[in-house]
Amino acid sequence: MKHPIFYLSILAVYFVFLIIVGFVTQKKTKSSSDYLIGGRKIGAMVSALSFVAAYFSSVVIIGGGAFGYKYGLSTLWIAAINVLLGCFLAWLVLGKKTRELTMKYNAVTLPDFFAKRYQLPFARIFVSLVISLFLIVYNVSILKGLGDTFQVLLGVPYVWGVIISGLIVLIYVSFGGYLAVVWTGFIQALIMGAGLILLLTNTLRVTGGLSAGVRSLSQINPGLVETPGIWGFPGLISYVLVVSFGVWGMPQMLARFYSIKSNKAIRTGTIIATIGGAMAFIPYLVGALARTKFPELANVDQAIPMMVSHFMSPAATAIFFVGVIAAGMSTFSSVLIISSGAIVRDLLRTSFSVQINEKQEIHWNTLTNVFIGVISILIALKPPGLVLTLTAFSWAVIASTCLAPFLLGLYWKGTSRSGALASMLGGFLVSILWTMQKPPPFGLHGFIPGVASSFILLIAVSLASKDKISFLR
Amino acid sequence: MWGMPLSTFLAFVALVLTVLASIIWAMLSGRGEKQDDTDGEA
Repeated sequence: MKHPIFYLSILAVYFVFLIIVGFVTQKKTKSSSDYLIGGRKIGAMVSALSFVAAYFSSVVIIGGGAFGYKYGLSTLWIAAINVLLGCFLAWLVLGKKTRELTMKYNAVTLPDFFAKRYQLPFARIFVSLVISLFLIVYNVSILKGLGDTFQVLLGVPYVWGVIISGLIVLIYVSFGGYLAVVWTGFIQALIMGAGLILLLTNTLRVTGGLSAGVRSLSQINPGLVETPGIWGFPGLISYVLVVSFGVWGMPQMLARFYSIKSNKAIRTGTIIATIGGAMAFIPYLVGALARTKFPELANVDQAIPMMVSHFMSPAATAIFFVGVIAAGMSTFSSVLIISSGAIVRDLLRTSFSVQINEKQEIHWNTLTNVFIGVISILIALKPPGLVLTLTAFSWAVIASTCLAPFLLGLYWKGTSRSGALASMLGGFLVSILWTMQKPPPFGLHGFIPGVASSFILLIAVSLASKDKISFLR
Repeated sequence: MWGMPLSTFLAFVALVLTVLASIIWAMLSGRGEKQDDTDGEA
């Protein structure tokens, strides 16, 4: 690696800046509502770009390049559907309704919303446990991605990458809470965007433009420029559905809709999130074109790092490095704040009636953030086999538990208490049991049967039962 | 287009159309809906 001191210095400046944001936002955090959802005062630009930053982790950037390298230009459809379903339609369908109903129910977390919407205190405990347990596992996968990124891009040992990036996130989230998460996420999305645009322009320059690049790719294998090409429709479609609809059931993404300040901001945010999300196509395109320059890579995860190290200037490389690290850190921080909210607000304060005031709740959240963060870092240093297996589907378990009761809870008056309970438990169990089969039946990711069974159970049991819960007026 | 098959080129078209759709939706849904009275600070 050339210029390591230069890159590490830029990274150090960026880290110091994040910590300053943590301290500044701490001064604006006066209540537990501020700490968990920024007092519902977040503007369109910050909400939308922090949504994008939480969506795309460093695993998506490096992994997206690997997919592009392996399967070619058909992977552009992943980005196109991500933007349509994961950004535009997610904001359009969930944004306004989520904001309005969570305000009516005075809910600041997802378990709190379920308990109040369905008058089901058990849902608060069950969903809090699922979220806190599986988000810790998800944290490990993000930290692992960060450690790998440090190692592959900067030559910093994996262990130090995990410790440094994890501790920096812990510091700013613990001090500034949700405000720190969204403001750093906003900045991180801008850096990611700059890094990816530099990567794209450099790639097009060295491949002689898009047309020339596509011609070269076609000469290697015509299947690399066709859709579905060498991947095939079943693999492409199921992957696209998993990574696009998964967002709809993830609490750290839905929090952006609780915290946004107005319906007007949701409309503006929808446009910004859609445009911001469009940068997702860059890793896939660059990964595909990387094959024209490095046709025989043994490790496809090296596709983007090779393009960066061979064809980008030191300054552009530094921005890209920081962008990739930022992508992982923004996701980790978003997940961390949701986990602590689930434990302190939903389990301790509400379910187990621990008597604490607003100020004490902020302190408890801070301590819980530190606790969860340190546990996640320690596990990520050397993840056991079981944790590594769980990381592959931890977010799918959460989405399978939450997506159907959340979406239908927003729109369908016919939902019943027993329907919601059956949906949560059924989605949870099916997604876990499905993924534990080796190989998974029909090659399907556990998310698809998990979410499908959750929807079916909610609709069928609600229609059959009489304990319907009307919307709060 | 750009040397790629139509099915792949359509991915770019879908991306652009999605961005346009978001702009049109925001404009249309904002029309007629009064300024939200819960607007907060920044």
